[in-house]
Amino acid sequence: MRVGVTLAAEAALLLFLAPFPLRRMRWPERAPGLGILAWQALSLAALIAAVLAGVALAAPTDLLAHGLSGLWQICVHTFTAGFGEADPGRVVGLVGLSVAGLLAVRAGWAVGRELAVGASRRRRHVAVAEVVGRRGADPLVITLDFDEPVIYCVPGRRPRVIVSSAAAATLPPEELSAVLAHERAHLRARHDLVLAIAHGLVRAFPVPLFRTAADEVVRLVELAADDAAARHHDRRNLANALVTVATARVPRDALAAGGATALARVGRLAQPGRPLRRPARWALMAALLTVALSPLVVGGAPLAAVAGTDQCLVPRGGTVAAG
Amino acid sequence: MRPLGPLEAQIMEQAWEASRPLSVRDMLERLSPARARAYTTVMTVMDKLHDKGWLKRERVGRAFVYRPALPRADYAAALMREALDLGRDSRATLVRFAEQMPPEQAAVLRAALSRENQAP
Repeated sequence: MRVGVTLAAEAALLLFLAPFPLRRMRWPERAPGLGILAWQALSLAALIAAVLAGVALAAPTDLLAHGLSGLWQICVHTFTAGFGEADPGRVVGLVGLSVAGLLAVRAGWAVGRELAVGASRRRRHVAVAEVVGRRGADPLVITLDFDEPVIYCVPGRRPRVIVSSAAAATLPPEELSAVLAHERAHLRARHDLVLAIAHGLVRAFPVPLFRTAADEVVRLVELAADDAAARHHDRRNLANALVTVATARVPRDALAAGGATALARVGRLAQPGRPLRRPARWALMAALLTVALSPLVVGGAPLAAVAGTDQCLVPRGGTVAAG
Repeated sequence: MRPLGPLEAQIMEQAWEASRPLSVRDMLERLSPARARAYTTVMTVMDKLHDKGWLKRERVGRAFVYRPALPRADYAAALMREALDLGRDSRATLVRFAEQMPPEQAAVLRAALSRENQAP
């Protein structure tokens, strides 16, 4: 029971409190890829903590020492043992397991939907673009007639970069190459998956952690792609292209509140900060791993104390017959 | 929706370029002569395009004539609308290189850029 409460506390801390100080972190700008991992680690830890909390409520601490097989038996017993006994421990256990199951299913379902809907929309989009648009020398690029400079990529099994005719006409070749490099970086790094997971989690649970994580990840994937493009292209070309595209006039509904992001990107391209050095990166990765695994530690620590004791699994009522 | 193949794309291209509805024979003549195509192939493909809603057709005499269901620009505009995430349903499936912004912010951005470009 204590373990369940501790885990629930960790989950609550991560889901509702942690994002506020954490979103002021500055280091992700210097290592956007790691920044994305950080938000993913936090989200994973929160989810696991919440689910494990529910499971732990069903299982007296010492019984978790039997590991996964014990866990399964506990679950089965909690649901199948006769309902004659009005044991508060069992009721808590039932509630805990049900909540755990619901959380896991909801998260999985929402992310799955996001992936599936996104994939089918993108497939259809490319299919139409291939007929309506024009191909040039580069098989990746399709040009669509549109009189404002707009560029976007369509990830998927047949990825494409869509360039409006105005963009192709307005951007000088070196700027266009820089933008294509940025888009290719998105496609290579499968940012569509990263975004689908982040958006899926917000849909499933619109709590501060997942909201902040989604906002941050949306921002960080652009920085990551900018950095990738900047490895082989002049940052100024990327910055100029960014402004040309960002200042295109499009319908009111399409205007994003992304002014701050574009401004930040231009500033960052003009004056890249010191990149994170190796030792710092390794330290961060170790920290992220710890965060991601922390629920198992929190849930497992009490187990270590009783691991190896010879306990039978509970026959009824939560009391254990030694043997 | 399975993507259309190159022949479908070529046929639609010709249908849009033409100023009048085309019969299968008209279409055959317009398709790249380097690729000799069977009448039946083109007929089948145009029939499929009609079924998929890309082409409309009507009978003229014993044959059908086909014309595009929508102007090319309409499709391009619809694609752009989707990319620009209009009528947001918040399942942003396409990520723009840069999101567009209101004119006031645009001016600020341009000013920032020219400052950076002037810096040594």
